[in-house]
Amino acid sequence: MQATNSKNILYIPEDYGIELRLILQNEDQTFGGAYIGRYRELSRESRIVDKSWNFLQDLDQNHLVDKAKDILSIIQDSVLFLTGNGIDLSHLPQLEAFNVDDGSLLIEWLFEDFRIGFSLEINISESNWYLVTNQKLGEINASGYLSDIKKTVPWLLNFIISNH
Amino acid sequence: MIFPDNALKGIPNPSFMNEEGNVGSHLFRFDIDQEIRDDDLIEQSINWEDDYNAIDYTLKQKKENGETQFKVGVAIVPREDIDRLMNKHPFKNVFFYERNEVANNPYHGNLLLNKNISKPTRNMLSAGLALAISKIVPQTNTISN
Repeated sequence: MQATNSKNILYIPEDYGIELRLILQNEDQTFGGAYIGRYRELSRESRIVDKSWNFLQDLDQNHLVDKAKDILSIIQDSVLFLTGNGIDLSHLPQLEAFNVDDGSLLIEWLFEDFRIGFSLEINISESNWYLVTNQKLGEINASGYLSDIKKTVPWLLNFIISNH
Repeated sequence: MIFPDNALKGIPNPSFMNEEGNVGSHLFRFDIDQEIRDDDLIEQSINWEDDYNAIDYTLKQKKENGETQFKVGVAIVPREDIDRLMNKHPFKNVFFYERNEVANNPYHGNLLLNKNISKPTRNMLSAGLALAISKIVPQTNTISN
């Protein structure tokens, strides 16, 4: 995803072709704009990542910021895919981004009964994600490194849909 | 040792908050670069709500340079939730707390974590503690910067 003065547009990775075709085959889906090459406008669900994206835009660019943007793009892609298949995610809160004193970046999704976070560490190989829930949702504690994040994000979204 | 129902965690500045008044989990991050104790535990300072004055005392705490330490306020974390985390995998036997009265702060204590715990687990614990916050008491005293 990249920001322009007028709008946010989503970068579509080459390896995203299969899921994109699935979205485009859904005749009920609109994207609010034209598909131009490998970029297209974000849907209204872009507000989920907008706040943290804008936070990152104001930071000095470095490998942590780039990695954080990658994660936001993966989340946005997954949100668009689900929306394209008729799942309403418009009620989800916005992702938050924080600078942490140790130099890391935290992208966090705050819900009443659970939290999902992505921590971008200075040693990028130590970057990680987590899901924690309260007693109401069974006190789940799950975490891992970001190496398999493209599979983790859809799993986390599935959890959100089931529990929010 | 007797502990009260709540732990108090000061919120130093607005960078720990979102616009909706919720705390980011990094408020409860353990600093791995601190001096390691003989028992291989790393400390995270809290205050214990031993009496009705504890919250006001925490809000009025100053840094060595005279600045107000917790400019935003104080997060209240029920001890029963801390206990629950303490007794659950993967925090069992690696996460503890203690009372650690220091000069001019009779309420002071520490959350304690084994230094060898992985970063994902450390961050997960921070999020668990943030999720357990029952209330945030805003700073109402005159702030000295």
